[in-house]
Amino acid sequence: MKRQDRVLFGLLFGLPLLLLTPLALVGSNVFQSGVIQCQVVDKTGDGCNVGVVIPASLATVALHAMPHIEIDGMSITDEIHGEMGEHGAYALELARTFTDELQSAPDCVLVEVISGRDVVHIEKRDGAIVVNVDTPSERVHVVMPMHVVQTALAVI
Amino acid sequence: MIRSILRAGPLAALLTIPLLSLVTPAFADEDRWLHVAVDGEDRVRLNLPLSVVSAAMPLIEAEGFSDGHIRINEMDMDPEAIVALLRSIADADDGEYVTVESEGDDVKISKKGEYIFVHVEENARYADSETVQMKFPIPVLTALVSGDDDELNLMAALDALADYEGEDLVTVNDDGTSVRIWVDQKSTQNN
Repeated sequence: MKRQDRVLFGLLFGLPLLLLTPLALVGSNVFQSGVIQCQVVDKTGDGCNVGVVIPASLATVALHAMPHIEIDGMSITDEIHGEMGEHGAYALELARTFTDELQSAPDCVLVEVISGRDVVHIEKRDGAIVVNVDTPSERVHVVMPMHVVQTALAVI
Repeated sequence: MIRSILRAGPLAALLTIPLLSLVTPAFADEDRWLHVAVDGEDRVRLNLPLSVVSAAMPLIEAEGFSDGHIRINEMDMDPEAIVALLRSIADADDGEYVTVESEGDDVKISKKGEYIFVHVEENARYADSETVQMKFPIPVLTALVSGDDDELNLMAALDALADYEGEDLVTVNDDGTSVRIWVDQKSTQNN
């Protein structure tokens, strides 16, 4: 390869690769971590509709930062522990065990309840817990990656 | 120039492949699922891996229930008599062991082959009767009474239950509402 070709190769291929690799790594991390979705649709027309999509990796970083954030000299996690009490701590331990075991289970519908015109549907899909609630007045759709739930339960 | 880019192709591929690699967690095919189906005015479907139930059960604390064991003496019953009765039924030959007909309520407990059948019918002589039918595999019953004399070992029973699949273990019919509980290898209910 001539020197001129090497320079051209470096400019045409090397530089874009250097720029795109970090982007690809971040994109891959976001893609693999999934997203947290929360959508509330008001069917009556009186209320407001809410739609939130947060990259799960961002939520994980925020959750890990939680114990270090202090309000009035007390960390957020300590405050949550104080509010929860003994019964809350027990429920938390139960939830940790439940999600840890569920992590390795295949995709499945865990709960489906149809009561009159109300429908509740909870399933594990693509490594996330998906909750759908459909009532005559509103529709709620929540997607929460399992690893975010585990992180949240571990941090708390 | 083109040849140089082609030579760089495998390098780019080597950089890309790890980015796309996904790790799939293992879940043993032989794992069993506990299913509950309620049909009537409301429709409820519950599907849980038995491994999840087994892991969560020792953590559940309630009155007379802890560490996956039911303490019978906390339920105002003679614990030793109940455990002795269950143990004797588990060891006995086939036959109908208990028949109670009282004020319209019928209770029958029988053993056939590998199963204990419990049939309870309230208001048996009336149109609004409520029927509860339970079918316990003997090894499950044996596991249930495998603990101390005053307790039922629900954890051991759950482990034994994993060997049974596809058949209804508990059915309840009450005023247009039916409840079915069974175990199988499928993560879904077909109906």
